[in-house]
Amino acid sequence: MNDRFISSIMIAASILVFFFLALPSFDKTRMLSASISEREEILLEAEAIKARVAELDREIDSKKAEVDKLNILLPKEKMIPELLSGIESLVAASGMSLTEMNLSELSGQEKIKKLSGNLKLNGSFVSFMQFLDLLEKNLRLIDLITVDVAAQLTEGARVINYDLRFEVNYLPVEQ
Amino acid sequence: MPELQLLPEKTTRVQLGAPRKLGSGVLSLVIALVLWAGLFFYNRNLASRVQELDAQFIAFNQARDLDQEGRVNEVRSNLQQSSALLDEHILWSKGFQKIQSLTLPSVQFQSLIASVPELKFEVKAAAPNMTAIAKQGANFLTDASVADLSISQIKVLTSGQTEFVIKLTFDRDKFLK
Repeated sequence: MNDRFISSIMIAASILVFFFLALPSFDKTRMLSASISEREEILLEAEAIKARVAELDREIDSKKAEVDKLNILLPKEKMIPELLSGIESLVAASGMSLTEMNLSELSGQEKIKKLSGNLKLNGSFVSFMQFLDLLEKNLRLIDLITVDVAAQLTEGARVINYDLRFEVNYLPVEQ
Repeated sequence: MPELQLLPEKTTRVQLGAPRKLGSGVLSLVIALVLWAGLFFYNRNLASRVQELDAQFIAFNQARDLDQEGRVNEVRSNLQQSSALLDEHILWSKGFQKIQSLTLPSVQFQSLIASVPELKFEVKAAAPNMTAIAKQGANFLTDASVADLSISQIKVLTSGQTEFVIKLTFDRDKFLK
């Protein structure tokens, strides 16, 4: 009778140990295993990203000339002096004459910032086509928005005046 | 003389270890305790592995080359934005060449206004007569990039020429690209 009683107490104790100690420990095991595999996955992914970044960096180094061109195409700054001298040389190369130019910044919340400008030129239509051709080949993108062409007689000679509105872009570095 | 009794009348079995009645109780308690102890030590190992991985992650973060990442990110962003701008870039020389090729030799342009936001090409020109204006209109419409056309302000000048304004509405993708 006494042995049976002790045995019952032991079985009850083992049930209590199972439910109050072993089972929570098993839950903890599952939780820890899950967090280990999650961390291992993140680390593997991070290592892979690091390797990819290093590879891309090497590629950027090897293609420095192209990257520099990209920086001219869409610079980080306004680069107004370069823009003005670029336009002036395009006008000169096409055989046109520049009579007026102005430049202002367009306000906007977009990532890409815009500068807007007006250009007044005169010259022959052939020269104007040459100017357009050079403008399109220019490394820094200049988008013509409106083109206004008018012919007028000045001192007996027919002069063609061109009034162009253009936009150029730049991409400021995010802080 | 009494008989000598060497063997007891009743034999009693000698039981070694825990009594049999306690056996199942002891066994179940031992199993439960071993299970708990095993899990306890296993969890300690797992917890130290978690700490080790956390330390690795912290070390990884500290070893990151942020300048390198910034440079790559900057080039990537620049490339994406530049591609979008190049897609949108307008080639005016193509539009003008098209207009030139579609213009009749007898039609003389006086002024021209072209606007991308309004998708229009407005030309003030002079033609020898109405037939030439009609032909010019028809000529422009032969091009698939011209979506619509209107002719207005037709005036016969003292010189005998007919002045008119022709407005073309163009399909941006076909006309200036």
